[in-house]
Order: sequence, then structure tokens, then C-alpha cells
Amino acid sequence: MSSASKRNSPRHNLRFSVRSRDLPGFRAITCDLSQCGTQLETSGLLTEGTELVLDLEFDREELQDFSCPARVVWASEVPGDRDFRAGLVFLPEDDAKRSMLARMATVLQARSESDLDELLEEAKRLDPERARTFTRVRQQTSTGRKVRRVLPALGVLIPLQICIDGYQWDGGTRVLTVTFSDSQGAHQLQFPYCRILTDYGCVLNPGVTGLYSTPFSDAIKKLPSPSPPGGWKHYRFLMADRQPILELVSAPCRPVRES
Amino acid sequence: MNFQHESLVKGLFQLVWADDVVTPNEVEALVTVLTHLGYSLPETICLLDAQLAAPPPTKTGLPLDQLFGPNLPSRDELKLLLMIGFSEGSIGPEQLGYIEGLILRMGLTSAELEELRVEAMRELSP
Repeated sequence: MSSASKRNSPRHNLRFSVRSRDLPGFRAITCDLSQCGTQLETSGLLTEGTELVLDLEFDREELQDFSCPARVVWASEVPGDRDFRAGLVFLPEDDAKRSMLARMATVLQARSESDLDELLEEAKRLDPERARTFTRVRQQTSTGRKVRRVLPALGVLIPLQICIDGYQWDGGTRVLTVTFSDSQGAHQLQFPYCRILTDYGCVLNPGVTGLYSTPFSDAIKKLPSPSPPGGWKHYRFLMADRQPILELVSAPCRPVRES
Repeated sequence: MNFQHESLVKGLFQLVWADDVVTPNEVEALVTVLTHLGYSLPETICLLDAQLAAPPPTKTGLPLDQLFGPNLPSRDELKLLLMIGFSEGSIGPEQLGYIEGLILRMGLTSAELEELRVEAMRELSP
């Protein structure tokens, strides 16, 4: 691709999971993505010039997961943030890979111009609806005793002390399985009919102190009918500062039988 | 899902909803109690997610002694109920109304009840 066409390749600020045996922790999150390359958020500093194969995982059915070689063009540490960024250029070795990248760019471009994009980004913004929700969460977790319970009207805050180890998306059944661990070991929760997933940095493996669940959110309002059995729920795994690290919309969660 | 304690678990959620107020302390006490009963963390999460989203339809008019029917709870199960009832430090009149019939049927003396309450409070403390 010429430098002119590279300049014309728009970047999309979308967060998808990327896996590679050559990445620190074997995974990363995209900060932006284009037909030519991607900026990754990683848990360790990459070495400039390193070539590695990225497994790109998309949580949308219109985009198929695929692998593509890439080279690290730049890498740096985010000051004071304890995380790392790297810019990589894709190195498609054949027409099939070039075709996949072109299709990805087309879908991302179409998405950015559609309501779907708004729906996806809805979950990311700290919008007025969410601001209210988190105000309620803070009210419920404040020190006052016998606070009038307003959560049922909006949701439930379940206290947890866990780390999210990862998640797996089954595009066929639309079930998202989240794996997490606490002092007792590893556990799994399934979220059927998962429609929206936003990962704010699970790769960094931060501690999760609560799961907030609500059947009311703007993102849910925009989902098409019919709703799944049990209705839609908007789940947010929260860190100590009450900010979400992972959020999703799905049917009510269900436990995975533990052996 | 653990069905062994179905009546007791129903009772726990009836108790936390007794006064239409479910506080964070009560939710934490529920997590502790469900863990005591052998529920896994994912099972506990799903139970809380389902049962705390809205008050149970039979919230009023079903005291716990009716919920348990002829099978009275064990002393340990009553202690778990007391853990929920006293999760705020003191039991409210609505919650007391739910639980007092059960205590009467079990024939507990006030000394025995106080002993159970102290045990429950001890297990709730971090």
C-alpha cells in the first residue's frame, strides 16, 4: 500500500481483543484499528521491529476473526499509567489476508456511519444515563445505614473480590463466558444472547470489586425486539473506583457447573 | 444449582425484602450466608442478580414459618436467617414479624435466641 493510501486509511477507535503468543500476557486490546495497522494497549513493552502474528478477535457476527502478521513500528510506556502502547503495521503475506483486512476496514467504516456504532459507543461513554446509574451505586455503597433501596428500580450491586482472567465469545450460540478467579479458585459465568461487549482493559487484570446489573439502560432501549427469555440486562464489572472494566448486555447470567 | 436449601434461600430473600429496603450490608450478608450453604460464587451471583432485581411476588402475607411448612429449619439455618436479619446491627420490626413465628414454633428460649444472635453477629464481623 502506498503512503498516500495509508494516509487515506481511516482509523477506528474501537476496542477488540488481540491474541498472540508473542505478546506480553499473550493478549492485548486495540486502541485503534485501520486497514494498515493498529495501536495496541499491552501489559508490557514491545520491541520495535519485532514481527509477530496477531489473532484479531471481533465480537461482531459481521466480522470473522482472522490472523495477520504485523511489525512493531513504535512502542512506549504511558507515563504514570502502568500500561504500554505500541503501533503495529500489518504485513499481509497473501491476497487472502489483504482481502480480510480490506473487508475489516469496510465493515468498520460502515459501522462508524451507522446506528450500530452509536450503540457500541453508547456503552463506552460516561453518558448522563450512566452518570445517574453510578450516582445510585455510590449512594448505595456510602456509609449511611438503611438507605432507601433504590437499586431494584435500577439494578443490583453484588460485592465481589475477583480478578477477570478472560472471556470467550461463542459466535454461534452468542454466549459470552467470563472466567474469573477469587481466593477459592477459578469460576465461570455465562452471559447468553450477549449483544454488546466493551472491554476497558481486562488485559491488565485489575481487581474487580463488584458486579452491577440493571435491566434499564439506553443501550438496552436501542436493542431490537424481541428480548431474550428473562429480558435484557446490562452488566458492569466494576473496579474499586466504581468504573467499569468490562460491560456487556445479555440475557440474565447463568453459572457454569463447577467440577 | 443447589436445591437442598431451597426453602431457606427463599426465606433469606423474603427477609431482606421484608421492609422494602435492601441495603449493601444485607447484600454482603447474603453473599456470606450463601457461601456458607455451599453455593459457588457464580451461583451466588446469579441468585442475587435474579432475586434482588425486584421484590418477590409473595413478599407480603407469607411469614417464614409458613414458608418452611412442617419442616422447621435447623438451629444452624435459623442462625443464617438471623445473620440476614441482624446484618444492619439490629433487626427491624418487619423482619422480626417474618421470623418470630418460626422462633415460637421452634420453641427457643430467649437465652437460646440471644446465644444464636451473638453467634450470627460474630460470623458477620469481618
